Amino acid sequence: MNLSTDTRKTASDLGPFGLAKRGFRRGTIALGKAVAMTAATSLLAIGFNAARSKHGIDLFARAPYDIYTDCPEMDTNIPKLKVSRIKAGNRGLVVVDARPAAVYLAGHIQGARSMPMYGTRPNAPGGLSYLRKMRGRFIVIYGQDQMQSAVHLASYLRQHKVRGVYLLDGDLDAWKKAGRKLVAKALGQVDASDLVGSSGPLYVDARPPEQYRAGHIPGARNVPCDGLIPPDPKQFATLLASKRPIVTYGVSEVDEELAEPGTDTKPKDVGRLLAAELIALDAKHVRWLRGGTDAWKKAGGKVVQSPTGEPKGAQP
Amino acid sequence: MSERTLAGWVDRLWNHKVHNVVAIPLRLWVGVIFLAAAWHKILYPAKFALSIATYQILPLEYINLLAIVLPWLEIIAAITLISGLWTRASALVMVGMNVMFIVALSLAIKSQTQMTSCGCFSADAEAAMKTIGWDYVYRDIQYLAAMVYVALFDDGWLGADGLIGHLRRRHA
Repeated sequence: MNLSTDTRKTASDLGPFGLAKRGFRRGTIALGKAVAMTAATSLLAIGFNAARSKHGIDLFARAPYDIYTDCPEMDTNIPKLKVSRIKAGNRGLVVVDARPAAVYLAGHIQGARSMPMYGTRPNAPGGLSYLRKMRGRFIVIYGQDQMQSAVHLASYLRQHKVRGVYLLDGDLDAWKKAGRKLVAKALGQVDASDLVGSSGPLYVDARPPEQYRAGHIPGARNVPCDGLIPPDPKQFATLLASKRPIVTYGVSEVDEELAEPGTDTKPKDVGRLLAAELIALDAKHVRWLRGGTDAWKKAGGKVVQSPTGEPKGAQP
Repeated sequence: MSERTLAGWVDRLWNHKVHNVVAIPLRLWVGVIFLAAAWHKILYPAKFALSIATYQILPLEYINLLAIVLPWLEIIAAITLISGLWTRASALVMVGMNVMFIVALSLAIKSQTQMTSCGCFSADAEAAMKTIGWDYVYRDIQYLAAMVYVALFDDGWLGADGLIGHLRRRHA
């Protein structure tokens, strides 16, 4: 029985059961049309967004919204370990540095693992699962006294079921006072003149997406990194796993209209920040291009504009 | 079975043409509001995405996708609803969106999420600067009720659906 003949029938023809059946059929057809409308509209919206050069946004992005996740509550009952308990070569210890990656590179406790703590979470792909496996060991966190980064990270780890978390009593200041040494890690940099015309490295633009889209090195990927919120975990993990040499760049301009009064509005070398994050987590062949796109253009390199998303051929 | 049976009365009430007349102002009311609401969001999806993020409900990875698709869905559903094309389907889409808004607002209010705007009519959360409250939920419940009525009782007789049906019958 098709719907048109069904519609013409009266209640007496159909009976209560037939009426219910007709209502159900009409509902199903309307629902099918609603689903089709939603699917077609979604495709239209995604296509329109991809074609927009100025106001289009990436389909999937996590990093810009990390700030909206809840910060871990500070745990005031974290036990502390004295500096004297930390001995080189002690396999029962895992030492973790909670400070920003660039500070970690400048000087850290030998063997310490970098896990820079941001407002909401640390930037450490795989770090949480690694520490969960360290059962029976002392996980000792240190940072900088006034920044509270160690307490913050330790609280986060305990809330995420990592056991055996301790703070280093007195933080790094106590370590230095005890005359213990720190080791540094080099942050390799490269000049634009050495790169222009060469092929091979994977360029990674660390600026916000809108600045990346306005002009970037051809083939560069965009992994925003501003030092305030951690880089996108998936994009960052992809870079860590990359076998190609990586060159990070980007000098981020701060929008003075959006900046809070009294905050620093100087341009920030976010390319350096991203390189530090990668090197601190043992990424190989990572260098930082000083001066960003300005230096690149001065050296004769060209920049291209891009609508949304990643350019083709930028796979790591 | 006589037309005077309960089923007969229900059928006559359900399919009475007065519903098509009553539904027109409801379709216009909700349709125009959704058209107005969608415009700014389509122009500035990044700002709208930030408004969605403040709800802290959706997994962060999918915020952009929703910010891109939702305003278009609002605009297409509003146009079809006003014109009476696929009336029931567009009303169902509106029902789905309003249920989503009501749930999101209720959760945000209940968990005392700090928000300055619901992001409903302006993509720019800071521009609106009105603290969200239960009045927003009541407003969306009114839209929901109107759209449920249209989905149940309006077969699009006074609209493009009716016109298409009329032309088809003439050709047949």
